[in-house]
Amino acid sequence: MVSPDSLFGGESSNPIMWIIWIVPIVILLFYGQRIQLKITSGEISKSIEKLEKYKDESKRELIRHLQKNLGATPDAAKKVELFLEYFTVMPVDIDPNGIMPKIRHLVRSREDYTRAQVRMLAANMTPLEQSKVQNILEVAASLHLMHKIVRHLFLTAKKQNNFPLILPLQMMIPFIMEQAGALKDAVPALRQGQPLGDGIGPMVVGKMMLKSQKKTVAFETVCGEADYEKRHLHLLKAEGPAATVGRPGDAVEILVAEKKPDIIIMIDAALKLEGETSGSVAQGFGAAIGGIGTDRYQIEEVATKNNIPVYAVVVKQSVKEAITLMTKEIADKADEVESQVRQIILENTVPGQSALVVGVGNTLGVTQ
Amino acid sequence: MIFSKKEKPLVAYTLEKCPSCGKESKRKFKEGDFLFAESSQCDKCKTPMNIEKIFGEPTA
Repeated sequence: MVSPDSLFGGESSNPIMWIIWIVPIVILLFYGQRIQLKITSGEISKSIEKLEKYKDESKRELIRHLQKNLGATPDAAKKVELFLEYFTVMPVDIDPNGIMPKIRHLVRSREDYTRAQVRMLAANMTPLEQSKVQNILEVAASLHLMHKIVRHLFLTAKKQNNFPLILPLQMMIPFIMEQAGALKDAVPALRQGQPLGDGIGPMVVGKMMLKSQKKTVAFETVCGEADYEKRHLHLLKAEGPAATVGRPGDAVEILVAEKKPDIIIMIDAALKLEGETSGSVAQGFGAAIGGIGTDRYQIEEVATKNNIPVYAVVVKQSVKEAITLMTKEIADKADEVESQVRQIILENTVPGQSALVVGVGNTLGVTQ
Repeated sequence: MIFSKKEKPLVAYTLEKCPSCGKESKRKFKEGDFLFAESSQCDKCKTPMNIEKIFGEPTA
């Protein structure tokens, strides 16, 4: 009689034992990568399905919003489809003369064109509605692009049975999905005109300039003036309540040339690291402003030329919190940020001097 | 994923504050609410309240 003990390692010359060990080794040796590719493919294709769902949902919601609430033109759906395929060719980056003006020109041309296209989607749209639609359109276009790129990488790896090619995608997919989920959740907030987490900067500055006379200094960017402890404050933010970030780079350039502030303070939302608390406030130095980099470049240039120190106050938040409805934790920090800004002004200027305070971010739902 | 918790959806609220008596009231957000804009009347002083905050809180 064969004892179970002898089957599982009792005798080393047992042929059954040999088969039990050798066959899986041979299978894994020749087909290991393919098996792994199959398992990974299953996970990635589920994510691609989700991305496709997000993309379709955002597009559907935009078209429904246009047709139901804004009296869209009959060809609006077709125009939206066309817009999703638009692309931007970035300037040559080996240009020795500097590519910043070229990037700025390109980005602004695209923005102007998008704005004009959005205006044509529905006849009776207010500027506020236009800005909301433009933002939703950008969300839908981002989701569309994400889906296309992930699907391309996945299908290429599958077509060539190339397991190493799928590894970077497997590593990146959780981050991509987090971003995609955040973009999908941004649509309802944008549609209803609710302040976003990114709007904390405009919220603080908007409150500070409530009682002052406002004037437009750059495209969709307003400035107000106030006095504080014998210091003069120039307060700058995008013009709310539209869904816009304005042109803070241009506005800072103009105000520095005209008003010669002694310090610049920038208030913005910043991405938190894992483990950091949402809504925590931090101070630092330098131009706190995101985006493609053109505005930051302008502000850094003008500050350096005029020898103006740039201080930053940021409110930490996740990607999702930054582009969706502002959470209570973030909104509750507005007063703390304002008092920190006032403290920076007191500590770094003397009576008679002036400070330029810039609220950076999307000012949707935030007036001034 | 094993470690991910399902997040509860956020409900938008509007916090209004009376500029004269300082009374605060919280209600559900409605479209057309903007931060710092004038809103409903204060029950006590009958003056228009200002929208102090608009934020999202997770559903219970």
